[in-house]
Amino acid sequence: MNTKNKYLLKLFVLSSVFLIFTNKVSAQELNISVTPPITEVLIVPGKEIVQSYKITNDSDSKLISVNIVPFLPDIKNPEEIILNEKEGLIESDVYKNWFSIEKPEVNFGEKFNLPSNSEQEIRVKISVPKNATLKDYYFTILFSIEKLNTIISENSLQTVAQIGSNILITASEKEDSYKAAKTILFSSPFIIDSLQNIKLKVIIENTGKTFTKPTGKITIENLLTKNTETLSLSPLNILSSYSREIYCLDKEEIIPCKSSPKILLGLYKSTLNYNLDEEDKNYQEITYTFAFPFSLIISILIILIIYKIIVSRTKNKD
Amino acid sequence: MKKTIKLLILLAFPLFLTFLSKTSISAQGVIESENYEIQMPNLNSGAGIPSSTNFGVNSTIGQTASGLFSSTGYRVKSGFQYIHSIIPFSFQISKLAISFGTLDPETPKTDSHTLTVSAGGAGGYQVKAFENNPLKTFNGLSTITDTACNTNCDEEIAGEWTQDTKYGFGFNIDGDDIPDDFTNTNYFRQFADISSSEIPQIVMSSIYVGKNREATITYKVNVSSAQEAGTYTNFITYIAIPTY
Repeated sequence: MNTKNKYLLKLFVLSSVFLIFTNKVSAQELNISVTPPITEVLIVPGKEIVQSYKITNDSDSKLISVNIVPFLPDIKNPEEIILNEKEGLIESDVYKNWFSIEKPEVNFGEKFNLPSNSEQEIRVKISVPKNATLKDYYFTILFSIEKLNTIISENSLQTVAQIGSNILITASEKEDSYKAAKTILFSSPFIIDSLQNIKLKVIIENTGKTFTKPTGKITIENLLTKNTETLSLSPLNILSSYSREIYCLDKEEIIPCKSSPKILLGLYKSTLNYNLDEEDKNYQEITYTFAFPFSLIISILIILIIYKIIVSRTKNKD
Repeated sequence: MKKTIKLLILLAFPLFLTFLSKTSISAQGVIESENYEIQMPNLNSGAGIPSSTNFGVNSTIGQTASGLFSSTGYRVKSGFQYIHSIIPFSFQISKLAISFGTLDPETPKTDSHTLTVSAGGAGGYQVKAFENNPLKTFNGLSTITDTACNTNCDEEIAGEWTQDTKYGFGFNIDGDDIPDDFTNTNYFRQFADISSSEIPQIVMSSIYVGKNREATITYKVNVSSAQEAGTYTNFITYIAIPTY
């Protein structure tokens, strides 16, 4: 092999190695993502908008179809979404005039190809009919993904994946709908050990006509030292006529509402302050917690008892 | 000098190929009306308070300024306003076909796969599951019923299933954000049977922002000697939905 060939061979080998190690390796047979995860629409009946969704397929080619299904939160557990498939666009005509797919040119429920390692834009037109009742409507757009060819030759089961994105629609003639809330629960334990956190629970009911977000904070104040700590509420949507537990927000993380880890001593006053969608009306609740060093005192007592036993035994031996 | 140039080419060419292989075209998010169209370069659809220095609009896309709603008749917000990052909601399944091979009486067969959810840009999430019907032969005449476990279990409550004389089809789930009743890997549930109007049940859920939350689903089937011969199959659907 001459020098030129050797050089070309080296170039080929090196290039191949680079390409092999830099390409994304995925062991997943299905790897799909959707954005945005939620769309909130305030709209006058008779108007229409087009919302674009991006579906990313980081796996083999698949078949995809689109459906839109109304949803409501579970009454016992409002975090849980209950889909009403019977009123979905594939199964029923109830909301047939409300939605259409602009891109690609397919109907709801119609399967089309989602190529491997690709992004697919799906544009959905939302048209609220002129005669629609002025209230909230909640939907989930579902993208169903399945294998291209399913050949069943043995005892087996096939998996279909659906990934969703929620659409909250308020049909309204005016921008500022009636918003109101009721604090169902703002609680903390009455007595805690000094080494524990103050854990706070917030449940807010939306008594207004449209979905809303609480914006606010919890201030924890030591009534003796006047030191304070502030927790931010996460602005989670509370649907009309439903209540929801509201958690706290640390940068972008939703976290439980609790004081930071430190030794607490004395009486603490926790004040919840929030408004709805940054409107003027303020809601306030207060709760108290007493922190006492139970564990510290018990530890000291145990040490003293052990010390006494050791001392008395040593004396007896002498 | 020639050697240096050759060496440079040798190093630069693979890097150039790597660059080409990584280049991708990303679709732009769009909200439009009869009157206007907004192209959103960062498709979390402008969700949250934009963290990009190139992106100076407010935390909502659509009509934000006072009075615009009255002229256009709508206002649209996309994405979660408290999450700055542009992370899509994603769902992965390690394999789509689950195979049990040949079924022998009182010899349980299992197979499993992994579900992975990243809800980084979506706050919390839920994954629900249901079956189109219990395992059936192609002609639909023979069925392997859903398991009742050792003593009792259904689509809502898991039960221990260790006895080989207890027959049926069920699943266990083990990993992140799973229901509490799956005490250990011997606890199984039935899938909600949509043909019997049962309601899809949660198999994974969290109220928190999560990344790469992972759970392994193990399917188990056990038949008696009275089970008719045939190829049994069904469809399991998983629905992954972000919080609202």
